Amino acid sequence: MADLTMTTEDSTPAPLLPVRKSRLAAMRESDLAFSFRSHPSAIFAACLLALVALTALFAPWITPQDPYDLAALELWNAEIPPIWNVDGQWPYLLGTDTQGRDILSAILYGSRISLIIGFASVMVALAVGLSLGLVAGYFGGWIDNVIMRLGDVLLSMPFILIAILITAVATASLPTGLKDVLAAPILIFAIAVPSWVQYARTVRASAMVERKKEYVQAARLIRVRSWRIMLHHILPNCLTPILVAATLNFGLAILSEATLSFLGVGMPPDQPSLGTLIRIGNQYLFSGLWWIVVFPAVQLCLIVLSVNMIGDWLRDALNPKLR
Amino acid sequence: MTTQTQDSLIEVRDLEVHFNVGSGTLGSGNARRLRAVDGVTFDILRGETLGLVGESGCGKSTVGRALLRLTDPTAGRVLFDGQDMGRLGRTALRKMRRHMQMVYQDPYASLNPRMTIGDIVGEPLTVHGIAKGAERERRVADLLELVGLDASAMTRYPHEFSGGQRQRVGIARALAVEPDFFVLDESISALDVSIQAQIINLLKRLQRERELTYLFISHDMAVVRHMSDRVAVMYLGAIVELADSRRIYEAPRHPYTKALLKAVPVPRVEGGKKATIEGIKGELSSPLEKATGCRFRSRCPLAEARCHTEVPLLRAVEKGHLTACHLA
Repeated sequence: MADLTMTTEDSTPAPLLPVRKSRLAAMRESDLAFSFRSHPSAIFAACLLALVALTALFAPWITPQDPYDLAALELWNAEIPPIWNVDGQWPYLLGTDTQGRDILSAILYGSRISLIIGFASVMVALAVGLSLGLVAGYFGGWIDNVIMRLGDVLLSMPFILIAILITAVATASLPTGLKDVLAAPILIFAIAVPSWVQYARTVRASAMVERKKEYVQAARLIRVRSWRIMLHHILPNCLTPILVAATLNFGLAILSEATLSFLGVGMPPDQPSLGTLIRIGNQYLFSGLWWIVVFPAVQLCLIVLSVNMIGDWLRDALNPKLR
Repeated sequence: MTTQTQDSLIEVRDLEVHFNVGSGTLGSGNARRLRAVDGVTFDILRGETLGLVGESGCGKSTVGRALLRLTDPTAGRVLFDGQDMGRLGRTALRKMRRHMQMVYQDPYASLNPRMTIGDIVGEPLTVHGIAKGAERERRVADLLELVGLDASAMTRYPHEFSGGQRQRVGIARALAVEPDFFVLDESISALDVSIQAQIINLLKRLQRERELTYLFISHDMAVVRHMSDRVAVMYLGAIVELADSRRIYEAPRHPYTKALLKAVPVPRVEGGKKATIEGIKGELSSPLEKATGCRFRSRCPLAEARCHTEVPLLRAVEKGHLTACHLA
């Protein structure tokens, strides 16, 4: 109290507004940052994910070849084992496939596609789920019923079945040229459709609690418009569980994408994701060319593992009961 | 029935607020109506503080919320400055609401934890297009100083403040739209006694400086006495007594008011006579049934046959002193 009500006695007038702490400084001092620093597994996972993301992002500059430029592929470089093998050859660190494609380059390019599709589908699902959940939780009544029953219907079908249905129908109805161009957007949509429900449910539950609080009433009394109350007042107070769900779902989305691609309804072989690489490599597993399938699979595991580790840490760090 | 000699800011006429309770699963038809407010009539005079007291669940908060249209009345009228709020369109109601604000009970729930104090107090300015940019910041700083906070509070978050300070922020937010009328719904009940006094003094100063009219809702008889010009006592959704503050405390006429005053703990001086506190005996009648007689009869020591069959109406027993009791 004292420091607040004290007035400055100096001749110079106190500045009206004290300088706001910079965002970065505030972040460094936050509880979350502290928790992060004291969790080695979270640091490890974050470093791993950052490494994967950066190498995927800069793949064209660090890989020895563009694995999808057919002109760069030479058949006499085919089926080279990894570098530590006696037959290994520089610069093919992880060996090459049956067409002379560098596996490491393919993995980095594939990770890029996998990460983009995973991230984008989470974003789409978040946008849909947050808006519908907020509306359902804030307004209640029939609109809540319609939205949540729709969600229940989606949840009553297996996730992968809906995704396969969407990609199958979309690819069957599109002309060949368009099919490849739209492969990624279709996959993003197919993964987002069944997964928005979880966000909608989470945010609806929080919104129903928040809207009864007095600060929301106060905002209504000031005549803040409904959409502004939802976005400025309720949403920021519902974000904690959403952040955790989104992180864990990011890992799931990457896995879903890999599953769909492995089943052949995902990314086409000329722009393969990790799932496509695993599907292709799977055929050579028993011909002794194990590196074609094992390394993409390891990369997929590392990505999902690190995402899940971050998600688990976030869940614990943001849970007030565990502090 | 009411004092019409002075200028009324708010006139409440036969206000009823009923809630549907226990609608049953799948609408199986055991829905019942809770008569939270069951026919209430009173005026609030310009510039006065009307205290509204009663035990928990008697409907006093619902009256306050109905005045602000946070709850829609089932029946009856609320006139603000002569205009019937029930007949106003959306835009007119929106304009009207600017003149009426509320200060809440819980200083922890009534401020958005994710907004800075500056944004909380400044939001009404933005929403009503009163000020923005530097002008808004200047106004927020003025408002904070008006309620006894330093302008530097602007960049901080609610969790950095004590209950009393938060309540000051809530008052600053309500003041931002320059209202004429405040509903103070248990606004100081959640605070420490020492802080209560500070906030009461702040509210009184603001009332003088800004010519505010207050509806002061509380269950604390002592605080109401200190705050109010007139006091209305509610019991089970109805006003049972309404009079000048002094008369209510010194010459109560309704047995419920008498019982309430007896239940106020009195500090005992060392060696003094031991004060007796009398609780109110008997069971509260159900607010789910329509009153067939006096609502207080089940707990009233004086109840007689008439009280069971005839609903007592609020009538003047003296000039400006209304009570709803057959025997008063």
